[in-house]
Amino acid sequence: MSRAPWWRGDVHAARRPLLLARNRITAATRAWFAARDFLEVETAALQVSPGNEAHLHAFATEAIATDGVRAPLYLRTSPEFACKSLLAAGEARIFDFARVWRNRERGALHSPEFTLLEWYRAGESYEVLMEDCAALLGLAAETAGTRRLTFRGRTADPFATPERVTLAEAFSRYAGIDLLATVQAGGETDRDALAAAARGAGLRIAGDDTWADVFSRVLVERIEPILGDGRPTILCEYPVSEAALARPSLRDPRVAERFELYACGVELANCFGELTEPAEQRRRFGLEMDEKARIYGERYPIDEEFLSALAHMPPASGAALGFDRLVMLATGAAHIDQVLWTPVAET
Amino acid sequence: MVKVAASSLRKGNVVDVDGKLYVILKLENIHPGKGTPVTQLDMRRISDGVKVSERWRTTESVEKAFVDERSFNFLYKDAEGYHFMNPDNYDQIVVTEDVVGDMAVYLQDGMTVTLLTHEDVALSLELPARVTLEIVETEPVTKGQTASGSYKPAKLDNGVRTMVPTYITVGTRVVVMTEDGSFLERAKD
Repeated sequence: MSRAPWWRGDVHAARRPLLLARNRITAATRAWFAARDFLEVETAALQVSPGNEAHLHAFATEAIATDGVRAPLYLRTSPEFACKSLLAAGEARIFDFARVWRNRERGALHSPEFTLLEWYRAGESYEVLMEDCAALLGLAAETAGTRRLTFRGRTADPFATPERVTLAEAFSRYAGIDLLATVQAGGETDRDALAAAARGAGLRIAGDDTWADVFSRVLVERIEPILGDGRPTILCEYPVSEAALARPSLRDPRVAERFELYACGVELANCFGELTEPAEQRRRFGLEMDEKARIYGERYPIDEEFLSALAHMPPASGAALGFDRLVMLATGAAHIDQVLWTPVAET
Repeated sequence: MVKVAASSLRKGNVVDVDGKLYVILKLENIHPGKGTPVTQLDMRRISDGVKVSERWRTTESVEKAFVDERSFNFLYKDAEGYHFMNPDNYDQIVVTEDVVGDMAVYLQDGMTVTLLTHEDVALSLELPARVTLEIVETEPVTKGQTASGSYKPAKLDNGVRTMVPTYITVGTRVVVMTEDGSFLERAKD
């Protein structure tokens, strides 16, 4: 690219106020968690499995033992397996400012290396995480010295109580689609019914789109851009097939305890009432890896150690927040590279 | 025509959708934390200039059209548009205002640019990465301001505003990047 490099004096000087705001928000967030009896943990970046989601791509590497024997290892796409294993070990409230890596992702909101702030509460419901999310938005804005979160001309009030919308409500309100009519009690989905409803709503659907692809199209085209406008939005109760590590809702088995936090149309955090059944987790990982193999011709190993630990994990809720994006919205940055001390080289 | 994955498309590429050709103006890949990633595009239909938005799965197969890419020299601008000449055969081509857009300020007499064309219609223009321009406005040099990494605002003779090192004075010829107008070095001429 023919842009001036980030290390040049004038370019750095323009970025520096944002980087200083980032440091202040990091410190304030650490203090916020410490005041609530959370322990900061630093989990390993090198993992046996980088995460088993169909569309998440990892950076792969190779471990060479002292005897020269080679084995694959990956840079994690999230610290989730490690954090949950710490809950199995007996920790109750933990947070991790985790550096994570995701391949095939680059853009205004995506850097291949970024910081995922994860926190977990053993024995507490995922509704408590909704309050945590709201509090962290306010904290970031206050620390950056702003009353408004902004991105691409959209604004949101970080001090307002987030609006809470279920996926079913959002599909009905913004696309006129009855989402749960296409999901059965066991979580099975009806691809053709959802595709027909989406076509009826004016979306272009490809012949080989799966139910999940159509679901994502509606979400990305019709719903996400208007979420978190004016005030933050909590989008909750995802269909179980779209929540690989969340437990089913007690009220409706078609949906899971998963919510996402949005502000200014930007996806900021993903949160679960955590699934703690190893057999069901193994089944879902298998489905995700089958899908990955079908689309991208690749599969990642199952972390057996993690599945063993899962059997000992207490009921818990957990959140993953894109920390760089939070800093962007609090500082008004237009590109994630503006809030990274040293952006990753363009390849 | 060649089939490619949507995520491999770039700005300036020409795609065939339902038998009509579109040039890509802007493109962004959106990766939800979970869920299917999509490529979001703003495109201009070549036949009538209408702008449309489209979204494909990043892995969706798209028909990409072949375009010609070659060097042209800038001649002049008139009511018709921007006139360029192919230096090999002296053929001339007129490029419309909407294709040139913000790049117009950097066009200089005889400048060699790259034009993407499809059936002799110019679809997009690429400037040389660097151009030499003269500083017409900036603060005078003050004594003691010699620290490296220290910059001040300046205006170039094409009207573009930029930042330059404090030792640069009015009348100095400098090399800037055409992508964002940023200062690169003092011209060696």
